[in-house]
Amino acid sequence: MSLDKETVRKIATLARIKVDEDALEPLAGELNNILGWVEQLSEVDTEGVPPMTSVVATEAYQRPDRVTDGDKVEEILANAPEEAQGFFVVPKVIE
Amino acid sequence: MVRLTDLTLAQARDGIVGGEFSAQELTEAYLTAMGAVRSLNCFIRETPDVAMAMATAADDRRARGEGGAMNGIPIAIKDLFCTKGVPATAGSHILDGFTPPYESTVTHNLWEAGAVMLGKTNLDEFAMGSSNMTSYFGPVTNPWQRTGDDAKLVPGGSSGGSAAIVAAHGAVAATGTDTGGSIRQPGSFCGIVGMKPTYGRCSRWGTIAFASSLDQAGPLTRTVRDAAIMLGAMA
Amino acid sequence: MDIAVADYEESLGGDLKGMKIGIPKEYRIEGMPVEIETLWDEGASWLMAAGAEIVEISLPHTKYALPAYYIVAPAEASSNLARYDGVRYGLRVEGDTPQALYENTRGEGFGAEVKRRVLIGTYVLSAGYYDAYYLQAQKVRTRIAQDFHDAWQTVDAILTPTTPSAAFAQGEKMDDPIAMYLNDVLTVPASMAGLPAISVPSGLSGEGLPLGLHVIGRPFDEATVFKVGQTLEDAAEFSTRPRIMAGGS
Repeated sequence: MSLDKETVRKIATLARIKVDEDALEPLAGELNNILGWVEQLSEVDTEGVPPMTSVVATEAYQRPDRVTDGDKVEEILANAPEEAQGFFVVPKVIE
Repeated sequence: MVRLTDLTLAQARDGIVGGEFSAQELTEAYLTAMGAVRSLNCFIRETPDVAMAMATAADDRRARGEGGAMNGIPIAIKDLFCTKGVPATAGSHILDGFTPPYESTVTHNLWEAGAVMLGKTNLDEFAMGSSNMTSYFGPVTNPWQRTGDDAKLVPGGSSGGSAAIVAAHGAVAATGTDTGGSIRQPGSFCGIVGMKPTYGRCSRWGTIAFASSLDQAGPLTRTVRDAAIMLGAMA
Repeated sequence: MDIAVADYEESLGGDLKGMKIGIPKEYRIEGMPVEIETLWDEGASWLMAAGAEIVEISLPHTKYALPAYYIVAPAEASSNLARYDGVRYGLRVEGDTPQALYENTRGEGFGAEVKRRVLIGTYVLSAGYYDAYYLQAQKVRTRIAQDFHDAWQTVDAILTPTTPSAAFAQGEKMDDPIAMYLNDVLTVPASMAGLPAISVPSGLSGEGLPLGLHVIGRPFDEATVFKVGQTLEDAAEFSTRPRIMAGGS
């Protein structure tokens, strides 16, 4: 499996990362080197082997269904790059 | 005369408990030491005022006959742990201006044990790296150099600032995080002890996430005994 | 974790009589400097002198741990780092649409290595590639954990070097991500299996730089890891100090 420039463009869009046009080709090369190297994993016989879901045997325990947090509008907005009237501000979505 | 900054964590702890010196004296010695090795770029942010306030509180606790396992011990915190009211960067430009309104469980536990925060240490961006060269805040320099050679070496990564400052005696100990080797490899490169506990031994709450099924916090110290004491306080 | 924290300091001291230490043959990787192999052998002899029995063991999937890590870790990172969008906190680089705002912010806010890993992670989790990359890596991870689990039937701890080299110069390996990743070839397997491990400074390279030895233990058996680590520390008597040190070395 080898990535071309168009695939890198598509992944970058999925990842929401702006990549300049002239950076796509070199990036494809770098990513292909890494993917080519991890390709060796296909040598491992994993027939009937379950995928790892947790490295420590543990049961998820439940807490009581009670509100323990909230009502912190000011704290939450304190780090916002732009806020207005208790909301985060984003560019216009609907014309 | 033994320099305060040459004492191990265990020795410093016993010295404070025994009244040989105060947490404030020890902290002042470390704030001076940090300044002396500032060229290594170990810290993204130094917190001297926080440190002195915490040291004063530690001395007050001791005067009352109280104090936890690390009462008055000045340590550095990898800038991946959120500490309330002190900006956190994860070594990245993307967290510009972010000041956590909460405290990570690991640092909360350390402060409960009486430890004193000297500052937030440099790291590879989002802990992704083995050289500390990917930090937005510039590389950290290893205090070690090759014999007869002045070339600047990497401290390893991603906990490079934490490892280098402990090796340079600019902090008694430091927290690190290890996803694929980020405590142990810089520990090895800087000639100190680095310990990654079992996945899940230390809480990940309030630690900026890289790979959640692997991330684990642990201590960087000058001796194995110090690592044992500090892990007990972190877990 | 609902498991009591032991008094680790209490567990220190005493000899290693009755303890078995494994030396995994797969960690003798190609190109490992002789001085690191020598230090490793020396470490084993220190532990033997403290009463431990040294046993050669096999962890057959060792060589696959690093490539599996470079699928699992970027996959998780791409998901974890999705939160940095320029809206709720941190850097914001404006754009005409929310999509442009996200792309501009992340394009400028992340450095080269972070972008590389987020893109790899996004790719290996994307439709059509998930099974071949991510699922296969998680199955290999099960194999790696099983290797260690098997080893614990015969040994109490495992001794290896921490790194395949001493510290290198700033700027070295920057243009070759895989060469950089190989730094972690000896530490990643324990990470993939979630095991406790310690690096203890144990000697100097020919160039006068510190080298560490690495002890891996059973899950939640930090106490043994500390005890074996301290035995190495005592035997190594590592006392050299770095050239740059507060107050002078």
